[in-house]
Amino acid sequence: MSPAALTLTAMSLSSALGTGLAATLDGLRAGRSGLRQDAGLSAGLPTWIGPVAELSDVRMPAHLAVWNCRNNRLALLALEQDDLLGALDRAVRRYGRERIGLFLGTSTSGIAQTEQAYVAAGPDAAPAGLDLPHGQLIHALTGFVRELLDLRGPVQAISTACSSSAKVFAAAQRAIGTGLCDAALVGGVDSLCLTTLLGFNSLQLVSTRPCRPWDAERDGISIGEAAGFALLERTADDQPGIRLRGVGESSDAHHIATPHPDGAGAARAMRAALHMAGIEPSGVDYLNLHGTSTRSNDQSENAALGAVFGARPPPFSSTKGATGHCLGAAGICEAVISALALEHGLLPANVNLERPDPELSDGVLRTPTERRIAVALSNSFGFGGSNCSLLLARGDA
Amino acid sequence: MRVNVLGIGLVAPGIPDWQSGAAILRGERDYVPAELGRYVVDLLPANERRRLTPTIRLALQAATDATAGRPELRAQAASVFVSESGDLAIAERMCRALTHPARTISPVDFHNSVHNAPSGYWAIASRCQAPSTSLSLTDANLAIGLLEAAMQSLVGDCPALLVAYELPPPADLAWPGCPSMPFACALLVQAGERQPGHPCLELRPIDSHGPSVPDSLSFDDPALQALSRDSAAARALPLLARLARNDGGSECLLLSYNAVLEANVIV
Repeated sequence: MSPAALTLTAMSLSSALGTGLAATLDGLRAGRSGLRQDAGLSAGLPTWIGPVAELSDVRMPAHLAVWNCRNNRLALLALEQDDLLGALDRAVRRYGRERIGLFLGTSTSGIAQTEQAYVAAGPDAAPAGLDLPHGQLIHALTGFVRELLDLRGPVQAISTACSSSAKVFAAAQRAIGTGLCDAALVGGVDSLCLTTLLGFNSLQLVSTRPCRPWDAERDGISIGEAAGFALLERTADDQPGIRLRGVGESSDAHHIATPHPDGAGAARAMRAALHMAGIEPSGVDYLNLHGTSTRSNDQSENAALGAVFGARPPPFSSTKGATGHCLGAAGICEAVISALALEHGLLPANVNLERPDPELSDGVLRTPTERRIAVALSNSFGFGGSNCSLLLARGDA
Repeated sequence: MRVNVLGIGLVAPGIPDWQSGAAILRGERDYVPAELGRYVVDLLPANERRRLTPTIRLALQAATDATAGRPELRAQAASVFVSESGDLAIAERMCRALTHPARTISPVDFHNSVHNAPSGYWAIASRCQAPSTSLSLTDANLAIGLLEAAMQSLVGDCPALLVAYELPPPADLAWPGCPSMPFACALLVQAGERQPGHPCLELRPIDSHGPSVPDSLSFDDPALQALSRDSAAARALPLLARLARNDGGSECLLLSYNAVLEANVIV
């Protein structure tokens, strides 16, 4: 069965770089980092985080009050940007509400609500006011967005750690290809909360400085939050836009929290995306790394690069120095950034890099680079050994 | 879409595996709910086994059961894990830790807290590098999971394993209608041509208000009936009963707003 040919007909992104595509592009052009120190949002840990500044102004509409939590407010913020709602409206009129699928990824969902209830109750009392189906549970994100937009097609809430909101593209592609729906809203949202900060810290994976992927002195991640969405429709003749040409998924089958040092699973996902697109490794113009800035991820991703691209990887960068590691939202964040790179001819820089690790491949982009490109590959690899690579291309490529 | 059913797994109170479950569903044996014994995941090396939680063990028990008859397919099958709530015992431990000054979160707890932890351990246990996804849905769990498994099998030209699992939440996290009993089931399926010796399911979405929606099979035994209503995953019981009894016929699973997934059992 050949995969459905899909176009990203609309998209939006809200991250530490800014809210909306224009702000994001501006931040990428300037080589900015959205990482900050904020004791209140970083669990009091000596770490840098990527908060969404505009989130403090977002209010949940009264009729959706039951869904109110940071994660859903962040979803709302991103949905209201860049006429995504207008594009959805047009899609609803074109296909019907029941023919639009919803595929969203998250790892945090609204767990912050549960955390706050426990902290408020203290060690000797039971937490009060919990409503897990509308807050903490993973499907609270899709439940909220579904109700907000009155979408009536098939729904998937995908939670595979840091590959979640890349895998949504694959799921949507299969669903459209098999006729389960005709279009899909894909994306993901993850928000700052205590348990991820303290949890990654307990694994000694959090840096005390702004993260520096690919750097010789890299020593851990900086956690960010983000919400991003894309509308996928079957490609019509002569339609402009960024195409989803390939998706590759695989499992490491190695360790629950550490990537395979040879990057075998990662290489498998990249190759599968290239194969689906019918593109050779030499045909990729830009690679957006997963590039978390841990010793082990960057080293294993580097091994995967070598396996797939040999001695000649395409120009590549991790954008996690700009946005932070947005966990369940990393996939969509970096897919949208890669789409912007294709659309605007701008290769994002691997910000915060001081000294590239000599043990890792050359070719990392040190400054934002204007160049018209046709094909981009974006990697997302998560705990549990979940790997996903997305291959995007210009419509006129 | 048509899938051949190559294996079935079932774990519930008083039901340690599909073989016993099928006998109960056929009425050959009384259903006696009893606490589940602690399952040992033999497929994993001892050092990995030590880190497992009850949630992970439950999902792996069903996955192992469904693939017991075709162990050679374990390393090939794409997998789809669906659970409404995932591992709430870990979430409760982590949140409770926040109420103490030290806020100590166990690193093992943290990396086991990801919704796809069962999927990750299954990949290690089955040495399988095929794609795997982990979903959280409400009542449409089974329908979406079954469709996703069917699509993965069709697109990937490989077998696919669906594992649906739920555990009761810790009391402090409970919500109205939450599961009160652990339950897990698994289906090993393969899309494509009918394979002799196996039942197959013909899957198609139909209008939930249309005239052709058949009534669901219900159980005379009140304990079995209660189990089948207790969680989204346990809604599989009527379909599993048809498979156990080698009964052709359709079961419908909630799919989306106005649609159900008709699973027509062909024996």
